[in-house]
Amino acid sequence: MSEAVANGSGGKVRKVALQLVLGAICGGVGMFAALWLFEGQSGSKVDPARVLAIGTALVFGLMAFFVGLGALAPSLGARTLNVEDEDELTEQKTNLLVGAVTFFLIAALLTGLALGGSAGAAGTLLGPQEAALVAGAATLALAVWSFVHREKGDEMMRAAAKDAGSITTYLVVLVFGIWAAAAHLEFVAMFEPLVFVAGVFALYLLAVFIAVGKRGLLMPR
Amino acid sequence: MENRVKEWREHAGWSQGELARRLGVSRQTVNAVETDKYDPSLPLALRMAKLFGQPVDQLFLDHWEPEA
Repeated sequence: MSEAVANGSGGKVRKVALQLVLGAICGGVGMFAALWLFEGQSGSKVDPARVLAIGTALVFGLMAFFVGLGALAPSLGARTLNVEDEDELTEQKTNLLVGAVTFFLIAALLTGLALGGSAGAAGTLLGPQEAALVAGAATLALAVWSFVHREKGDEMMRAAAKDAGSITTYLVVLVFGIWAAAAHLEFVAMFEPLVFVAGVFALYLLAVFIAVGKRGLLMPR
Repeated sequence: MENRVKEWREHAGWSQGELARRLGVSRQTVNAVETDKYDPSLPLALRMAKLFGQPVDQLFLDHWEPEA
């Protein structure tokens, strides 16, 4: 093996390790801080549905941050994102910004719902009206933003997005369809509304990884 | 689909980025086509063939044969 190849693969391993460590640290610290904040407010354990919503929002928020960083500061982004070099980020700046804003809006929607609810419940920082305002504004912005930018990206990214949509449908039917059927037959308790909303976005995220993974976009570059 | 895009790209002396720029797609798309992870649309396959000055069946290899 030549030195250049050895250095190249060593560099890739270091980069993947950095991405994993950064992701784990940010996710862990963020989740710990969120739970500490909520449980500190009420003094009791937070509802698992809110934990799922906050966890999913956190992942989308982190993705928004790192993708946005790649668009606005390519030299920094090239160290944390799976790209060949910073030029690739510069070439993809518009698509990255569209993605970052989309992820941010999903994070805002889920955060608004996770923090909302009737007063007194653990994790409730917003009243129902305020939460509805945050979630409604994020949903509206998400719908308009997605529609305006529906043709952005090249053909492979559009194919991956369509693929992710259909995989999400299968996953939602599989997870929530079976769960609801089992609840109808009284084998299990029915899921909470927030579990469904957060779960759909979590499954969408999984579907996106499957769709882009099939096209080799998760291979270290 | 098995293809010779990488071979023709290297023959032309282009990087993946250069080919992507000429085709109006992302580098990731060129990489995915070359590594057989993504089959391009017919318009993109035709553009590649035009760019390399080759017929499409010299770029993309189909081993299917019609039944006699």
